[in-house]
Amino acid sequence: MKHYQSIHLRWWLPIIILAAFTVMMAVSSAWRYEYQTAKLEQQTNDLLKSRMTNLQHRIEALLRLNQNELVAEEIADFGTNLDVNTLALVDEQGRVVYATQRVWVGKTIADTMPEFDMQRFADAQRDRRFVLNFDAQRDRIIVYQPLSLATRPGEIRPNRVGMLLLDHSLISAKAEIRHELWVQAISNLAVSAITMILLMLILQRWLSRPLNYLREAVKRISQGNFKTEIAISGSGELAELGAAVNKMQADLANARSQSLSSIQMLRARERELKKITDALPGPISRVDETGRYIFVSAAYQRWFGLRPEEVIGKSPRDMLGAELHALLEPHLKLAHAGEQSTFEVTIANPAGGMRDAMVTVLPDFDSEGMVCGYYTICVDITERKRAEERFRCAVEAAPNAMIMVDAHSIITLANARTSTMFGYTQDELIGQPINLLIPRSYHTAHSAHTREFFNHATGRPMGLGRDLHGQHKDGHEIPVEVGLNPLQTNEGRFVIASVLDITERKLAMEKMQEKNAELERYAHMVSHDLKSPLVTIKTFLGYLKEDMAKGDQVRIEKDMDFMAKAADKMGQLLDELLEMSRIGRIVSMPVHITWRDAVQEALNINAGTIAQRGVAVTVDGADISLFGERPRLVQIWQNLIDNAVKFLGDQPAPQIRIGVEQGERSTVFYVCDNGIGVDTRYHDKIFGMFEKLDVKVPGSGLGLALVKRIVQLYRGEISITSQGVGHGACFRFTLPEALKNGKTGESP
Amino acid sequence: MNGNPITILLVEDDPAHAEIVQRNLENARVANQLNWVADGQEALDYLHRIGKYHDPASSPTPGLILLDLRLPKIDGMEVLGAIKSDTKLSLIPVVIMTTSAAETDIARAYENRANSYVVKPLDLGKFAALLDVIGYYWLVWNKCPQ
Repeated sequence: MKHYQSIHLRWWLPIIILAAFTVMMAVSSAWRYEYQTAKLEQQTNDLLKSRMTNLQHRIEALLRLNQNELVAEEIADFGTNLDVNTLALVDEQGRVVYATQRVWVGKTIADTMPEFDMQRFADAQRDRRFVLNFDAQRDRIIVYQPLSLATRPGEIRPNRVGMLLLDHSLISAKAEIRHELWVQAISNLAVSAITMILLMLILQRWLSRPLNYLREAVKRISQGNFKTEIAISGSGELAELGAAVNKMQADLANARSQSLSSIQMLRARERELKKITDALPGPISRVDETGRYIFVSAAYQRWFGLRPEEVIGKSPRDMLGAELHALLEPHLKLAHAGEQSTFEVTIANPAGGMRDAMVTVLPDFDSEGMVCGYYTICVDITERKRAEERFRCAVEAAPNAMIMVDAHSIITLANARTSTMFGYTQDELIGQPINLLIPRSYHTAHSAHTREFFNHATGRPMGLGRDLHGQHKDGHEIPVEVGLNPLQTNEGRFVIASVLDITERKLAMEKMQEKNAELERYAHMVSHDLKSPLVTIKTFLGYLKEDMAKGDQVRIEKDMDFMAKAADKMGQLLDELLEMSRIGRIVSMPVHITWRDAVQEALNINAGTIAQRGVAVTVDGADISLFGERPRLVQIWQNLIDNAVKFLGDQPAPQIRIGVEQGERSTVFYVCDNGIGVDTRYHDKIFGMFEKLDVKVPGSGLGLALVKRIVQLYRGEISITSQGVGHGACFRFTLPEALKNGKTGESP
Repeated sequence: MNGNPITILLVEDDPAHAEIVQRNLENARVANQLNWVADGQEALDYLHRIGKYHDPASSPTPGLILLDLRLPKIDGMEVLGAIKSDTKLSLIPVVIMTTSAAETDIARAYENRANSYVVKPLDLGKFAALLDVIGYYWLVWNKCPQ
C-alpha cells in the first residue's frame, strides 16, 4: 500500500510558493546584475576608447602647437562626466608630464601609480597600440593610450612615444546597478508576500475550512454516526467529495442496517439451532482446532452429568475420560483428515446403567476448506440394540432353523436350531454361501430363484409345489419347508429363511397316506364283502320261491343252504369288523399278563379245533411280563393259532411251535407251523383285510389283519417267513410297548 | 347264430354267486359251457393251461370271461391286467362282474382294458335279467376277431 503524507495546505502552500518565488527572484536578480554590469563594462570600454583616441589626437595636436597649458586643461577637463581616478600624461621614460593630481608631475609611474603595469606600458609603447584592461575585481579600467611626444615645445618627435594613462572607476556605476536591482527585488517580494497572504486567506476560506468540515464529518461517520449531512455548495472537487461522502454514508448506513438485520437473523438462527440441538435426545458438540469444546448441547448434561458451562473450553479427554477418548481417537484422526466416520460405543449413564450410542464424528471446514475442528453427534441406540438382542434371542429360540442371507447369498445369521438341523456349528455357517446347505443338484436353480426373490421380494413360502431339500454336513438330504421374508435394513436387503425339517411330517404323511389307502380298501371291501352274501341271500330267496312253486325239494334244500351260509358269513364279517373298529380304542383296562398266560388262554379258546386236528403244540421261552388289554394280547396268539390250524393242509403230524426269542435289541415272539405254508408272492397280502388265499377255508379274511393292527398298536412289527407251499409258515412279531410297560408297569 | 357253443370262464370266489350264474345260464336261451374257477391264480392257470387245466378239451379257451374283482391269491384287477397284456388272451372279452360300485374300481378296470363293468344287483329278477342280457349281447350279438 502506498503511503501518503499530509501537510496543512493553508500554511505550507503560500510559504512554499513564496520561497520558490524568492529563489527565482534571487536568481533573476543575479542574472540581471551580471548582464547589466557586462553591458556597463562594454559601454564604458567603447566610450573610453573613443574618448581616449580623441584625447590623444587633441593632445598630440596641442603638443605640436606647443600649447602645453591647454594640454593640462584638456587632461583636467577630460575627467568631467567620467568617474576618473587618475589621468596622466607620461613621457617615453615613464615620468609624469601632466596629471589630474598635479603633485605627481615629474615623478615616475612606479612611484605614483602602482596600479599601472610597466610591462603592459612597455608593450603598448612598443606596439603603439591602445590597451585596456580590468583589475582583478573588475571595478577599475586601466587604459594605456600611446601618443607621440614633441621633443621641445612645439615639436613633436615621432620617435618619442609617451603615454596617456587612465584609471577609470566602475564602482559607483555598479553600485547604482545593484541598488536598482535591490529596490526592484524588495518591491517584488513585498508584492509576493501580500499575494501569498491573500492566497492563504483564499485557501483558508475555500479549502481548509471545507476540508476541516469534511474531516469532522468523516470522523463522526467513522464513529458510527451516519446521519451527518455534508453541505458543501458549488461545483468544485470538495463539493463532489462531499457528495461522494454523503453517498458513502448512505451506503454505509444501508449496509449497517443490513448487517444489523443479518446479525439479528443469525442470532435468531443461533437460538433456533440451540433449541433444536437442545431438544435432540443425543448430545451434539463442537470442538475447535485446538481441541477444546466450543459448543455442547443440553443433552450432554443428561448423558455425562456435566453442564455445558463446565464443558466449554475443556478438552474431550478431560471430560470423557481416557477410556472413552481412546475409542474416539481413531475417528478424530479421520476427522482431521477430512473424513466423516461413525462408530458404536457403550457409555455409562450418570444415573447408573449403560447406554448404547452411535457416534458420528464430522469434520468442520473453514472458508478455505481446511479442517478447523469437528462435531460429534451421538444417537441413543439402546432401544435398537435391545431390539436387535430381542431379535437375536427370538431367532435363536425359534423352533425352526432361521437363516439370514444377504444379497450375495452369504449367510449372515443362523440360529442354534440351524446347527442341529444341518450339523454345522454357527461359526462354520456365518460368512458361507447358502449353497453350503443346499444339495449340489439344486445350486444353479437356487441361485436364479434367489436373484428373482431379491428383485421381487415379498414374504412367501419357498418352492411352491416342489419338494425342497437341504443338505446335512454329513451329506444326507433333509426334506424341508422354507418360508422366506425380505428384510430391508440400513445395511442393505436381507432375506430371512425359516427352515422347517419336515422329515417327521413326511413320514407321518406317508403313514397317513397308507392309512387312507387302507381305509379306502376297508370301505371298498366292506361294501363288496357285505354286499356279496346279501346278493346271495336275495337271489336264492328268489330261487326258493320258484323251487317251492315247482315243489323241487332238492333245490329247495340247496337254496336254503346257500342262504344260511351267506347269513353266517355276514354275521362273522360283522363281528370281525366290529372287533377291527375297536382296535385303538381302549375297551378294557390294561393289566399285567405274562405272555405264557396269554398263550394259554388262546390255546384254551382254540382247544376244540386243535384237538380235532390232533395238533402237537409246544410253548418255549422264558416267561415275560406284558402290560396291555388282556383280550387284545390274547387275540394275537388266538388268531395266529387259529390261522395255523386252518392251514395245516394234509400234514399227517401237524405241529405248532409257540415261543419267544430274547435278543439284545428286541424280544421276538413267534408262532410256527408245519402246514401248507404261504407262497412268497402272498407274504404281504395275507395281512390285508378280507384277504383269503383259499376260498374253501372258512373265515372272513380279517384274522391276520386284526393281528397286524394289534401288533402295531403296541408299536410292534409282524412278518411271515415260509419256504413256500408245503413247508409250513412262521409268524414273528414284536410288542415293544407292551414289554416296556410290562417292565415299568405304566399304561400304554 | 353261431352253432358252436361258446365257453364262458367264470372267475368267482363266492360259490353261491357261481351257483347263481350257472343256474341263470342254464335257464338262458343260449346253451353254453360254463367253467368256474374260485381265485385269480386258478384263473390264470386255466388260461395258460397250467396244471389240471392242461387239457384243451376240458379247458377250452373261453369266448367270454366273467371276472369278479375281490379274489383270493391274485386280485381280479391283476388277473385283468395279465389277460390284457397277454397277446394270446387280450382279445377275449372280459366283463367285470362285482358287488363293488366304487368309482376307483370302475376307472381302474377300464384303464386295464376291461370290455364291460357291471355291478351285481340285489334282486333276483334283476341279476337273472342282467345275466340274460350279458349272455345275449356277448354271446350272440357281439363279434370278436377269430
